[in-house]
Amino acid sequence: MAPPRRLPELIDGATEEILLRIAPEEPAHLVRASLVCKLWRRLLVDPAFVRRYREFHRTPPMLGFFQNQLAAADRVHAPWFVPTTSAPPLPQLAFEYSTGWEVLSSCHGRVLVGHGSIGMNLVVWDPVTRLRQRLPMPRMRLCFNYSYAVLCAVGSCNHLDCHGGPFLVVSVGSCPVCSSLHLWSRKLDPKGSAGWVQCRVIDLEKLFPINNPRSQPRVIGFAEGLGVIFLWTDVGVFMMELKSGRKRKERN
Amino acid sequence: MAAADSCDGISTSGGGWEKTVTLVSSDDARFEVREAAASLSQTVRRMIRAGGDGGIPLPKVDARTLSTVLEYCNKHAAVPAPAPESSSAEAAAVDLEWFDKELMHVDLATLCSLIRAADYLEVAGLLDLTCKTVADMIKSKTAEEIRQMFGIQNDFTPEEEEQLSRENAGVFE
Repeated sequence: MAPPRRLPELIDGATEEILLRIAPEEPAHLVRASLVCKLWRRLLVDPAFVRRYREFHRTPPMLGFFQNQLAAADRVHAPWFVPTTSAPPLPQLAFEYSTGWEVLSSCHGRVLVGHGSIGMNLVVWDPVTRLRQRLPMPRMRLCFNYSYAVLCAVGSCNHLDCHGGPFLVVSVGSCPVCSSLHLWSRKLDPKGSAGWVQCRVIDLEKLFPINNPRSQPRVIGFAEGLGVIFLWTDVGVFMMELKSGRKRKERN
Repeated sequence: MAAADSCDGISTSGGGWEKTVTLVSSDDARFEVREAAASLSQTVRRMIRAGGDGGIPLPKVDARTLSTVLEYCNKHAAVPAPAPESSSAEAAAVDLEWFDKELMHVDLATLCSLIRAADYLEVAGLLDLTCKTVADMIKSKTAEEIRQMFGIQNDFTPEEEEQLSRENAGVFE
């Protein structure tokens, strides 16, 4: 009778199938598996496996969120990563600039960080690869109160592995002097940048009722892919479709 | 040779006639199985199409493993496809889930044999079930516990190990 086979021989061909099914919720589980032996490590870091893993599990897990914390010493904001998994895969995940930077938006693995309320400096940061890309300011008036968002610029993207690809930064600002809303966008891809483009100017006074002229409307949210923004005014929150200009007051 | 040569037939409890095939394990045990169940294995399905005499030989699967694989195939092929979202569909799904869970109550060596057999026989559902079961066993373990579980040699040099533990400090805390 043949001697019983050892387990490594029994799972050799199927190791990849087993590793593929380790749930993504706790990245530490995959990291630990990669420390078992050279074969397992090679399998787990192979780009083909990584691609397959993303497609198999579809929805990426939430690893944590950014919080703009007050740095005690100089009382200015600094972004801080708050992990939601038990062992964060990137333990020293902090923005390595000096304080005064704030996270403005994050989406599909990219983080938009800004510095300074007047003449905002913008950086798109990839916390996994630690790559940073500085953006020049749009030529806008200083009195504007701006909101920003960073988005993937590929229309048909499944967002499973697009964090190194082209992105779009959108900026919506309201001007308290002329009560208007200004929409800017800037697309960046590996071939270069299209620069800042002013897309729309919307006259807020005509569109929205405002009780107190000193209380300025501000953009409080975007709905990606829908072309919808949410505006706060002193009479309530409004949803507005950018293409049609249609607006609706949201229930409080 | 005609494809029907490896197929026999049995009468079903409903009085109908159902085609069967004979599968032969590596240790020469013969299993007569409904063709619908055996065809959950893409490997067997191809061999049925190719035809042959005296049963389908499966030289990489022993009798003990093959009998468990066939238990899975018989159960999964027997489930009729009721209208989705009906109460009977829900009950059938619960029953299958319970069956799958019970089937996985085996030791690690048996599980690994089943993975290898499901991979060779290309029974997609069983490969998924067995690999998921082992993946769930691995996930809460340290690298050393995983090595002990499978009898895997640690082939990293001490220098490589030190570098890896530095790079992955957060995971060890």
